[in-house]
Amino acid sequence: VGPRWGCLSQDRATRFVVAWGFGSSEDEVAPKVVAQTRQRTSGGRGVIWIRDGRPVYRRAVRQVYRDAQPTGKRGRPPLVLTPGVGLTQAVQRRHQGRMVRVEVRQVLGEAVDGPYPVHEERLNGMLRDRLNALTRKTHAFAKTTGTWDARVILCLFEHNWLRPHRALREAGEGLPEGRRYRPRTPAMAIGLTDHIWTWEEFLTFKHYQHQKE
Amino acid sequence: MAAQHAEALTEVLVHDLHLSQVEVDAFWSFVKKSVQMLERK
Repeated sequence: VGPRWGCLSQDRATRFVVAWGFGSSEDEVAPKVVAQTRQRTSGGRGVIWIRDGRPVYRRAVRQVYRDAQPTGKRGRPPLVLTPGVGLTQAVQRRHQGRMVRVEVRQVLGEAVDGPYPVHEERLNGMLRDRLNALTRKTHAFAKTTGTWDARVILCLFEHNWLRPHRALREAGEGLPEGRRYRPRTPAMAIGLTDHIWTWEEFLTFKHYQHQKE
Repeated sequence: MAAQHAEALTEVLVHDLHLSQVEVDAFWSFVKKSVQMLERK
């Protein structure tokens, strides 16, 4: 019981939610999300992270994105920062409860255009719209952590695989009913599937068989 | 049950992603009791 935190990492170009984690504080879940994101990245390459000013992300990115660099000498090789990794933080400055300015900090790597996690904030808004357990000041709160987590996971899975995203639609020719655009889900945009999944497909997909193949 | 299935599917299908920029953020709500109610107890 008490506060329950969720943390998500989302690919900016395709809106695909790469990793998520839940726990009793942001400091507890953020390192897990950063590590899981790297695990799911091709070759464990460095990526540019965009986040607000919490120090836990600086620590997590520095800890997860470091590789051993052989020197040819005896002993344990030194750990160096993975090439290509970056971290941009947009820090909100407040005065008497009101936000007065936003400072952009380039903590690691190169500067990025649009250093604010706007798509991620929109995704949080979508979750709060769709899930009663996240709506503030209602009686529809979750009664156990298990149901809280399950609702968020299903909603994120639907976002990734089942629900076309308007910003990802593709112009095409010869589409049915005279349509000009082909709808795409984030999973299609990132190249994990070639069609929009249905709930039936989700529920009948045998993941253990797929793993064996 | 369905959420466990979704987790397992994600574990199997999501790998080798080509990412360049990743946004990260957190959200929160409460389970069963708010912080104020916990403190009052």
